[in-house]
Amino acid sequence: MSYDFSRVRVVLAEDINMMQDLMSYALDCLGVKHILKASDGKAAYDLCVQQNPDVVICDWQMQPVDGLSLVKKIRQDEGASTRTVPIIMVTGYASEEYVAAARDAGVNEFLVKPFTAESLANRLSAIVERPRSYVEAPHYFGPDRRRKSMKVAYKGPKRRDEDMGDDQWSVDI
Amino acid sequence: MVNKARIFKVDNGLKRKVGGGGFSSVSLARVQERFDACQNSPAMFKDLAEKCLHDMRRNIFLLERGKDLNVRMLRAPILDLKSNGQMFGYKSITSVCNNVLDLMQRSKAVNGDLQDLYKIIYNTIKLLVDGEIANDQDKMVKAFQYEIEQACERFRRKYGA
Repeated sequence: MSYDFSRVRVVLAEDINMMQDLMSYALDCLGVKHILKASDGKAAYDLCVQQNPDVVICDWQMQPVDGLSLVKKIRQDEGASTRTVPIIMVTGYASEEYVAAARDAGVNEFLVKPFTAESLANRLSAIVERPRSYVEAPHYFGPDRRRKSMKVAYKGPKRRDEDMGDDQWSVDI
Repeated sequence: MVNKARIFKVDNGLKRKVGGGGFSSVSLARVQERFDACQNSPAMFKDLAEKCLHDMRRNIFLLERGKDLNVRMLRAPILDLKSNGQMFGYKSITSVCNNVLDLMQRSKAVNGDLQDLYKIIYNTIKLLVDGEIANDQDKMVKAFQYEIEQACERFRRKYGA
């Protein structure tokens, strides 16, 4: 028994045809049958509004509207059902400043080129199996930027989410 | 005044749709097979490289007309070339880009010397793409790599980047 992605709608934003074909082929092999292709951030955003996808996979470097702007637009879209859609950013930019910029825009997962089939599958598995809580703050909306899997040398009381055990809480910032 | 941040969990409809069990090893193997085929087909990279080279050409054009571009904008197409080059087995581009990218990451502003370096890297990559020279062990690639390293070193000595 393995995942069944046949009912999953994926918006794939990539402006280079060859990369778009390659990613489409990969997603098709992984069982995704509804791939909605866009060649820039604007077209991808329009598709998100119309089709309410389950996942967005976008390249960073696109013109005229790039992937980072797309992520910001989706996350800032108050009241839209797509505001919390999982977003995987595909990019060759692996340096810290780029990762931080993507994280601060509200990206869920980051996939750095060149990537393998396994790393693509791992990012998809992560959004299925380990979805992050979302944070709505005055200057940020998006997935919780703290990684729960990180090992911290914390000897105090149990973590807040374990203590509270419910789906929603507030913190002072 | 205290600002409140609301933290909430979103219904995991995706998990309900896809179920469990992960991806099958057969499907992963099919994907990897295609990725590997790309690695061995540098010619496929040409179209993609043309787009990045076009972006670099546009940046050079704008710089020559006094347009104020930041280092990040200049670096973007080179990063794309490097990363996509790795996907498509173009190790030569990776080897000539590394030094320049490292230097550009440390540079705060675009000056005349950085513009010159940018033109050099553009011309080098164009030669590699036009000549379909993908192997980083190629003699010409080694020579380009050496010259670019030297140019980067001179830049670093001058500006401390």
